[in-house]
Amino acid sequence: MPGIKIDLNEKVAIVTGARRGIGRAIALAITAAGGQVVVNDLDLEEVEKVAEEIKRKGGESLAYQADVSVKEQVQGMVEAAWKKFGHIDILINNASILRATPFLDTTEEDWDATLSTNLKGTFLCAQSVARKMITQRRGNGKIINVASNAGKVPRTNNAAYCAAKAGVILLTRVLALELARYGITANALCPGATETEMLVKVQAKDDPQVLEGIIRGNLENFRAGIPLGRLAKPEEQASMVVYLASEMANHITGQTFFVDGGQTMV
Amino acid sequence: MRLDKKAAIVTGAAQGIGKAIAIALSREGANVVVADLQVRKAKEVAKEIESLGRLSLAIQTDVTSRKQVEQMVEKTMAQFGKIDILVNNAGIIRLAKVVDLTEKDWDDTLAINTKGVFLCSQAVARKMIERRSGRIINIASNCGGAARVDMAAYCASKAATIHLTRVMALELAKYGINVNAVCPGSTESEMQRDMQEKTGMKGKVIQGDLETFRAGIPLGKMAEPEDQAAMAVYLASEAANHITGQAFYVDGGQTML
Repeated sequence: MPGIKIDLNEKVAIVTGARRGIGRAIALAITAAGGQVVVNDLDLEEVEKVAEEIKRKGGESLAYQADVSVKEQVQGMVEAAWKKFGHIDILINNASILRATPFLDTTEEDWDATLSTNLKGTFLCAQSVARKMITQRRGNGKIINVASNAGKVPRTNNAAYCAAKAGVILLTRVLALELARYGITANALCPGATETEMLVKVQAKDDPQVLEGIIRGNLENFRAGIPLGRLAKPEEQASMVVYLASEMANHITGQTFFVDGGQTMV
Repeated sequence: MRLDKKAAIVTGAAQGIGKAIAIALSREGANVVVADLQVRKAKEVAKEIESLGRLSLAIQTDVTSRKQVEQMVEKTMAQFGKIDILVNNAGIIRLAKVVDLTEKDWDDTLAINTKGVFLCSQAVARKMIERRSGRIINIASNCGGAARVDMAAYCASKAATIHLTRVMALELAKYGINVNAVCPGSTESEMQRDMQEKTGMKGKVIQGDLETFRAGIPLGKMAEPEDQAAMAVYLASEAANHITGQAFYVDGGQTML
């Protein structure tokens, strides 16, 4: 019988793309729940700051630089985590990029870069970590992929991003199906517009009017507003992830969890 | 997941998933109204909640009767002064091939599983609006997304509940009321046991059954009522502040919609 208390003591997690935004909030929330966290990012200097913050809060952490779209680097990260902690219980595939470009102007390079990081990165990390989870036989391995509500509803200027995130959602289900027999669950989180650099700087280009259009809706872009009337906080995405990583969610797999203030409801 | 001093109503709380939810909410600190047609069993659940140091009240309620629903709400207001959480859990299932399904079975199923959700939500939301805050959690089913043989009325009622959840979420967002659905898969409950005996599905639910076009449960077991209760508690808690209009499947990977 699962407890209602979220307790990740003795659990080891890898969080990719953890230097800022939702990834950072997830790493800190796992720490607060008692877990130990490998914080991954392309930018080592920035992610080391997150590891320091975790250590200041009394947690264990390891900062690891890896490009999730490169198999050797992913394997290096998983081996380093294994060597330091001896097991891996939770994987959060969070590393993502977004290039806001109209479909007609999207370059092949934009497409490849987005699909590589957002989708292939999830495949590579999940495969490499799942193999470890299977051999360690601790049961209850948890894989949580950070997709997006844009993986279910289309958004203008986000063709590659939307396609990649839809791919993540269905990959999650296949992982859930194939890994269930090993006691590993796989679920996806679909954040809506969240107060992060990616949204404010990259998507909205620091334009308050664009941000307002994201919250209130923007008919020109066929975009409905957010019924709860505000952006999500990164911590609100993190709390859903921590729930899914906990024993409370032992019977949940192959599902997609939208935390978007009611924006999509699909 | 603390819910200290929150006031909750759980319908159909005398047994199964509803009982597990009522007890889980009270473990987190909430005072809980146990509403059910079966008042004697509801009183036993209320006693169990009181033994945890919370306030509880068993109220005999037919959720399809507007008058009884209003009385349930008034009694709750008189006792607790507010309602923070409503869990619409009361549900029935009648098994029949669609070609044999009687009008009465259809009406009974839709009345309890769908109209009951409407009536309870409307009556409670009117109280929640005054305080600009509230959580409504509707217990639907993974059959509200996936079709099952012999369950036409049940499936339709649960699909309607899922979509009603979304419309209520849209309309009530401005009042700080979040509305979500939980979609349990096969769960160790009285209703499930009874159904498996009637259909001869015992043993076939977990492995799946090709004759009824039913896939098995990838995690290889049924859910416990507490698995469903944990999800309801999460949705009732502050951790879920930005979640509304969603349907959460707790079914061991059976549907993955």
